Amino acid sequence: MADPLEHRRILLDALQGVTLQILESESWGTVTCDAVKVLPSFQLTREVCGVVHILGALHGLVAVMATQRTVAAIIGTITGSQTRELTQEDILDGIAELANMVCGNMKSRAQIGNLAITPPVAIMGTEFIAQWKTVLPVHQLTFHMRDHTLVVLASV
Amino acid sequence: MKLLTIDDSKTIRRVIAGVGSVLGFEVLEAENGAVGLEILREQTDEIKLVLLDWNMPGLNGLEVLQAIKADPRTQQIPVMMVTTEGEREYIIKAIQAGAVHYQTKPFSQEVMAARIMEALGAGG
Repeated sequence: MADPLEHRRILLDALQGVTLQILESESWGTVTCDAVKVLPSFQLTREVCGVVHILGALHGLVAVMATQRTVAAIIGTITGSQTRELTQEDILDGIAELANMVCGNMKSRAQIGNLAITPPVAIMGTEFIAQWKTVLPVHQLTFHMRDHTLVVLASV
Repeated sequence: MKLLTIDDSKTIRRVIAGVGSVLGFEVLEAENGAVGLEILREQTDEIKLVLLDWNMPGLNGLEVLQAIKADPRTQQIPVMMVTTEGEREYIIKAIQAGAVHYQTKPFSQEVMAARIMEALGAGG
């Protein structure tokens, strides 16, 4: 019987590693990550969020979130577009694809078997409060690149 | 000559369209498998490569790949999977179903250009 605590550690390490790798591969240069924080609840607290459900050997939720300006900058580097050309639909699509890439690569890197990810949910706005009720611990990883910050929440 | 990208992400379709355009291809876009198969059946003779996502609403990429290879009109068109699914089992399933290449996301524009040329049999 696999140890869920060990699986969780492997998954969080993979999540941190792939997020750094993805951001660095998109021409952001050096990306840093703060020490992992454990939060009391799973709340979406940024303007733009991409949320993916993890199913299988472990279950839980991963959210990738940032300001609209940061998501626009990331999508701009991925697509080679000017950020001023990006529409709200582009931003929503972009955060969804970023969440998909982060979680898909996390799953591949962790190799703990029988994991699946759902299609991402994208949320955008300044006037919402969203919370997922869970008994699982909530880990926050905060990444910094130039003058941008990307936050990843994981509860698995 | 045309490429067809089937991906629910506009972001990814935009990157592939940009790369294809630089390489001199007209790039057709489909946001799901059903639309992709329809375009493929309408323009079979002109489409030289299909770039196919795995996780999409409706038909998934493997189902689309199987449909392409099951149809005598489209089975000769090469298909490259372009997906976040990087596990060995996914790659094996795709190759067994007839994919000629497998590219995980994210990718640089240079890598995608090289993969497209390889899939068309014109590269390393």
